[in-house]
Amino acid sequence: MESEASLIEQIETDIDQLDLLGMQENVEKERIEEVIARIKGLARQYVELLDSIMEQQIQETESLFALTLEEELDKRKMILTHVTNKKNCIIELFKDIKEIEVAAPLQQFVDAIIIQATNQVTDYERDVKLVETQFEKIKEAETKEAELKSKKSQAHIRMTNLRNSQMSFADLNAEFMTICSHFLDANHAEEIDFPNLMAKRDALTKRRKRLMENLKLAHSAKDAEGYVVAYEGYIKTNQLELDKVDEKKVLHLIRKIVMGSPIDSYETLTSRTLNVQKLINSRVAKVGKLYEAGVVTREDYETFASQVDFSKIYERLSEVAEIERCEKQIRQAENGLQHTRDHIKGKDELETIFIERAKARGRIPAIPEKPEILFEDENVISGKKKKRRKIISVEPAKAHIVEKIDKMKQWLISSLNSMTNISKKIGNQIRKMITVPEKYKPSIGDKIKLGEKAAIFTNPMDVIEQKDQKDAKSIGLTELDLYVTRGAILDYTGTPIYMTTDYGIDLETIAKNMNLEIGTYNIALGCSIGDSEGKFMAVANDQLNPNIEKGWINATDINIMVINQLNKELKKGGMSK
Amino acid sequence: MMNIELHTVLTLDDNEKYIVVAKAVYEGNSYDYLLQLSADGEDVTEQVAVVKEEKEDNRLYIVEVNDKNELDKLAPLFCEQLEELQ
Repeated sequence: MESEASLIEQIETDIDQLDLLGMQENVEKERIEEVIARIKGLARQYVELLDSIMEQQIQETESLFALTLEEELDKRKMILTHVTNKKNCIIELFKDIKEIEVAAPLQQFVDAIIIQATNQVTDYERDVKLVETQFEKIKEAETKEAELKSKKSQAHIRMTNLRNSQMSFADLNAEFMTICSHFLDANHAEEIDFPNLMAKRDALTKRRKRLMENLKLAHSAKDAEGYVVAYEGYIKTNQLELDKVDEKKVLHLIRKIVMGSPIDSYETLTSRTLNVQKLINSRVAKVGKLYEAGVVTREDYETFASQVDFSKIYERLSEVAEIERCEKQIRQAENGLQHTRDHIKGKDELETIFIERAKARGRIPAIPEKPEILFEDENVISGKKKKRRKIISVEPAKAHIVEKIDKMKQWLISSLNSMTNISKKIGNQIRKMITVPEKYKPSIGDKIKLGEKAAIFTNPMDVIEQKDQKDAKSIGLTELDLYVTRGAILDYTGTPIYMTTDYGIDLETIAKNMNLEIGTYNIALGCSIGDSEGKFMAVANDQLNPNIEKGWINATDINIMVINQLNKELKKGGMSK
Repeated sequence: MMNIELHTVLTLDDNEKYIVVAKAVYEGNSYDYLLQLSADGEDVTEQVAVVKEEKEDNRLYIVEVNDKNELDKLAPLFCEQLEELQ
């Protein structure tokens, strides 16, 4: 293939020639076509060359390993630049042919090439956009997370306040029933034959209609005044009778609501309270009209209107509704956040997508080689790089700081364990049973079960001298749950095992790491020495009290099983006394 | 070039100070267990970190270790050293 520079020179020369031909008169058409054909051929070669250069550049860029999402974005932008450069080179080379009148067929040809190159650019822009979208989603998730945190914090405060003053459901229900019962009693509500009552109402309503018609006729009667007064009197009586029936109807309906099936939820309580209130309100409105019509007295009206006060219940129910609203909002926010998080594509997923896209483009993509040390996925997905910190100076620590470090030793160990999986393993697997081989290596968290014949020494020196040996059963240790709380080491010359003086702190810290609840446990200290003989110290423990009785167990007996074998590290220890 | 030893105080580029409470070597790399000091360097805080030492162009750097598997390997090494403290 010819070089880029050579092709460009040839094309430019031919374009100049075409330009000259275009300016001449009576030029043979074949001549122009010949030049155009030559330019087209060279253009094809040129595009092929640019494709080859572009592919090489893309391969080089693709082979770079992106540690973070930011680096992935840079990579995709760089690839886009290669593709855009190709398009720009074509545009630049043929930019003047539009001025040449006879170059129309060539222009058409070049336009098609440029369209293809433009489509390529658009295609690779999608890749950049895909990565940028992940940043947007991450930012969206971070914003949602911050909002959720704030919502939760506000809701927590509000819910705590509400719950502190909230009536229990049972009390609220009882309050409702009390109010309604008083109301029903005060109004002498009793069980009635409802169909019969409705029949009576119908009859009274029909009579009222007749009376109203008669009243109308009475106005035009000969002795109108007398008839009018009479009928008005009948109508008033009818109205009072009808009102009594209506009152009984309302009381019956309220009674039916109140005495219905047990109220088992805030929802039901709310609905019943509202229904009762509605009935009472309609009754109050009616009584109000009767008062305005002079049928009942003001006293009757006001007495009835004030008989029921659900305001306290409404207040409590609205608090409950608010709590439920808070909880719902938090759930919705959590779902929204999770939805956003679920749609964030991690680096691995993006890599798969880009490989597929490359194949769809008819390319074999370069797969980057992963370096030895990788950042964790969460650092990649979040787009954050691990920061390397530069050390400006190193100097000896002051004596009082070193003293403090010594006193903080256990806390430092505990902090370290909380960073690791070790303590979690202990807590989570504490009840898992496994059979251990002869060369067992017990460590912190191991549960030890003693066989009846397990040898016990109550004094460390007895271990050395092999005297006053007892068995576990006689001391009552066989029924106990023993846990390894601290490894002790027996050095290989056979000197006794010692416990550290800060035994109490150890137990508390270790028990917390083991997720042991406060209670009575029997603790064992174990060690491993690389052979089948392990030396243990079993202690009776009362509420993790450091004042304990201690005894030695010679664990060579095969009756001993070490359960939950974890963490085979040797640790040092020692006895205080 | 300065070396990071046990109980030395490291001052970083943003003026944060840390004391080295334990050191470990694992797979040929040096690691430190650090405890942050107060701004004036006269007291300790409750912020700890495990870092890996890196050297480049005669300069010392540290990078925080967050990988749980790596921490699992380093923790016992640091613990052993801490328990040796008198």
